[in-house]
Amino acid sequence: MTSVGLEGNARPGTPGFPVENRKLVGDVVFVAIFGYASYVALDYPSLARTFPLCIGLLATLLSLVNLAIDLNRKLSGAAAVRPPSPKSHLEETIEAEMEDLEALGELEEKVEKTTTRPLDIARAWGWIFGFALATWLVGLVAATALFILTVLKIEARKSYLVAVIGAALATAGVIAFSKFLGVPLPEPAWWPF
Amino acid sequence: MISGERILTRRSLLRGVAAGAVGVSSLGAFKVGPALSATPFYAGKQIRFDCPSKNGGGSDLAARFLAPWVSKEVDGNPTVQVFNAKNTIIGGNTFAARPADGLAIFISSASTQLPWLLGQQGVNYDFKTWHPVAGFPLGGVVYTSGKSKVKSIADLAKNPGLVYGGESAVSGDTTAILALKMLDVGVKFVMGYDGQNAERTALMQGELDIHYDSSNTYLDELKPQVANGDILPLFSFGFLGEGNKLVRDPLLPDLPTVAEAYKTIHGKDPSGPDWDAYQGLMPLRFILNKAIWMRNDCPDEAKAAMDAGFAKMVADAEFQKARTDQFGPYEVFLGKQLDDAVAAVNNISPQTIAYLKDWLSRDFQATF
Amino acid sequence: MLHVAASALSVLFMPDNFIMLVLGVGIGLMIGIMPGLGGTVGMSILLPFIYGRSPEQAIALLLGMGAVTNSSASFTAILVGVPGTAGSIPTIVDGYPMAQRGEAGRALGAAFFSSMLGGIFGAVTLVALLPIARPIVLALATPELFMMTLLGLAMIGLLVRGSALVGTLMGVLGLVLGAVGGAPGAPVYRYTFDWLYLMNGVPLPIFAMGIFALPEIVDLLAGHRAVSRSRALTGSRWQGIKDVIHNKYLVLRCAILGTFCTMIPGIGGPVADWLSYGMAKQTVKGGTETFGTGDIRGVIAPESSANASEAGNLVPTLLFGIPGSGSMAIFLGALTILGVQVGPSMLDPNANLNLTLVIAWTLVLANVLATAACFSLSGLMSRLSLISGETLMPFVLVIVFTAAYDTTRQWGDLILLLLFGVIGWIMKRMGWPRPPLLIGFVLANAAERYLIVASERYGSEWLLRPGVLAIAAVLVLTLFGSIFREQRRLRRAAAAQ
Repeated sequence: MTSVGLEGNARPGTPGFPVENRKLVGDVVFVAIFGYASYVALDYPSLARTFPLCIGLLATLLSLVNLAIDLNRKLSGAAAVRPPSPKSHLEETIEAEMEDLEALGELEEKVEKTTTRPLDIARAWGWIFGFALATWLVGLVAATALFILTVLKIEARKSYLVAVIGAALATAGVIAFSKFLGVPLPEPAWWPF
Repeated sequence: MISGERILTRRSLLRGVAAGAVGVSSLGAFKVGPALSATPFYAGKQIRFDCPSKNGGGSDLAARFLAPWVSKEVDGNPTVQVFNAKNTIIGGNTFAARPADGLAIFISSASTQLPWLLGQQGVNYDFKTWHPVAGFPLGGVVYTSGKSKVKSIADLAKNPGLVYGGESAVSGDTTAILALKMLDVGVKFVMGYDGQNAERTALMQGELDIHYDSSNTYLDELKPQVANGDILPLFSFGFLGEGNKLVRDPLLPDLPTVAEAYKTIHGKDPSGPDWDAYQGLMPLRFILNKAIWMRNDCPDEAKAAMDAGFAKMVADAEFQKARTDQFGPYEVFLGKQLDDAVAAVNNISPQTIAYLKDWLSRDFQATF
Repeated sequence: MLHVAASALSVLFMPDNFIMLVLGVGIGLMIGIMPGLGGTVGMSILLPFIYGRSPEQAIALLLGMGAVTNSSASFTAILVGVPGTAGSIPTIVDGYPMAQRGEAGRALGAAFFSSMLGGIFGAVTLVALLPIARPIVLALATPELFMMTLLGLAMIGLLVRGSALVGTLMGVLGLVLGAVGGAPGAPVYRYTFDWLYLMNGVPLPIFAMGIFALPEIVDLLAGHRAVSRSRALTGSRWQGIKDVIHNKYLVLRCAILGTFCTMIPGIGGPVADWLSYGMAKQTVKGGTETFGTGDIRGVIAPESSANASEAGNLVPTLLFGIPGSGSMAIFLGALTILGVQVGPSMLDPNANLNLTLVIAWTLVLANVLATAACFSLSGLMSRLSLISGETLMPFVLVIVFTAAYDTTRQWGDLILLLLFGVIGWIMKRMGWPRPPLLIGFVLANAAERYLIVASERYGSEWLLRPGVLAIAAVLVLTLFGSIFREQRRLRRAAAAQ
């Protein structure tokens, strides 16, 4: 599985710049999160501070190293058009590790990319957030009926009959769950807080 | 953090839930006779019984035990559904945000009241705006491991550095650590244990020397360990008698109170700010250990109906029997007696609260 | 002894008791499928029904339910990547990729069969261990528990595929996220951003569903494709059973690990399952390379330990009356209601020994029944992995939303679910490994709690306790072993080029 993903994918130096930049953004986010966590922890009393502060500082350091490696790799990757210069053992090790990571990430990416476009992804998130919004507005029971009906009809292009049956089943399931376990479901609200 | 749902013994409450369920099934057969003339306020209505603890937590089980009795005894036989918020402060806030229509009641525990009293972060509820319906008291016992060198109360003072383990300083543990601080015998407090079970394991391992449990847990579960010498009870938290005076716990008449323990060690009656603070916390910790509340601004007829319902419940021999099995023979506090206890909590002097806050933040790094 | 055991078994086959057992198993299977609902919820639902029943009936009902929630949780974990219970999260890591390859049936068959074997092993161990468990439990005080959590954290290093650095960062991120909410050592709330919801911390079910389930739902919904990337299902459930038999020693090792870890109050089932997974990855042939990509052994390992953990939890419950988990706390309460005093009397032939044996047989029978039920359904269920995303995923999403809201019943549940869903999806796209994140998260609270208690109680002396040193030695050996292996792998890879 590891080797499958390598073929024909962006390697350092080939048209892989978007991936690289995205990765760098991720690295910076890591540094920011851990730096912030450590900074906030400074205000806590010692019994509550020690653990998050130690973890946070260690992580900030590691994430900086991570950022440095990636920056270095991006620069050397850009230079890879030139004849490759001899590499140190450390560089090779790091590179081999990075390739492994890339292999996994890119394999998943490749599979997703061959089948999905950004628009489809946005629409999928739209459905999910729409469902959440509907739950908030009209409560979970009504939102379930509405959501299943519209998704089956519009996204899955099923017939009205199938969509209605599906919606009815799902709604009945949710109600049965609530009744059987005696748990409350989200009720309609206009402001969640 | 402020879980402290350990004040009522879990096991006896479990028994209560099961008994409650049977109560309902046998009660379902008959309905209390029709109301006199007007339709009762709660006829055909549904009551939300808000509770601040997790599934299976102390308040949750107490609420589930009481729910069928509320339904049976309150005029109009409302249906009662328990809602647990799974966190004590969030539970209080949830109830505070309910409409004042009389269709919501709340069960508080000492761990709901303490953060309010001390003004902890996140508390958006105010017990002063609520109407107390009933109070279910419970005491506590401080004991040592049979492995420690302590064989009597007097030994406490001879062995400084004994270790007490608890979950959090602002929780059910507060009374126990305050009592031990008052005794001034150099007990070392280690907070951060993952609840009662972890603490009891640690006691068996010899990692801890001193621990506390509710009177009920003590009688239910620890008595065999006392018999074989694994555990030695030292003193009870005491109980509130006439005129808010500390007396022996009616469940544990043979065990000295913390005040008697103080006298044994120091040769005089307790006094000073620790003693004042301890007495200040007594009504909250014992009489209102579990208490039922409504909003003050809900309809008067709702409050009257609920008060009458609980009075009728307490007068019901069947309820008394079921309750005595669970909560022990402590008297349920209602009406004037209850109002007095609530007033005592509301009137705790600002100096006492400031003293407690100062102590908890200095010794236990609590933030308020 | 054999005679007593046989009579305990015959007690369970009496119609009254057997009906209870079947009922319990049925309810347990349903609860297991619902994400976020586990044994604790099931126990609290069933508790009112035990009043007035015999202890045998209550045991059959409650333990029959509790013993099997992990079995049916494999359905959602393998078929749609949604963790049904906390214990089934490691199953996703290899089970879901197998379903993507069209091998859902094989993965399910292996999962059910190995969890049954684990459960039976746990039951046998329970009976064998009770007489000798006391010194083991008493030897593991807080410092040793802290070392155990460190051992768990070391699993992060073992689980990482690709860059060790990124994997470590993810694990540490999990630790930081686990620190949200009340601090264990002092009455202080951390990282709540003045949002009351966060005072309780981030709930594990929400976190796990957000990180693992939502990203899959989005991609399948967007891609209009089924979980299985191949049109046909290959590898039958019978193949799964063969795989388990082929890996019988792995099952045994993981079942032992699951039973022993959960025997200690404070080490939960989820931790034990991750430990088993990490141990398997480390020790089976080629595991470091194939685990995480759909290796059947990555399914067998955590499943073998998952059902064994119920038996492990029972050891302190029955021996000391100290429940090892939330569901055990309720079970213990139920026993007390029925007048059964736990403790050493559970081993006394004149007192409660027969009940202990009924408990063990209940675990065995419940596991067999559950596996039979799940196994017969698995052919049908594995077809779910062929249904296209836009048809199946809306229903999965409804289940996820319903279960998420039941976690604390506040809007924050849904908000966090969506937030972690987006984060998880980005992580998936970036190729950042998500299991280390979850391990860090699961262990954060315990690690901090034990560290604080150990140093407050013992000062720095605890570092020299024999138990601590012993676990530290295991830890160092594990880490060196994995580094050595990794080096060798890199060298091999370099040589191959």
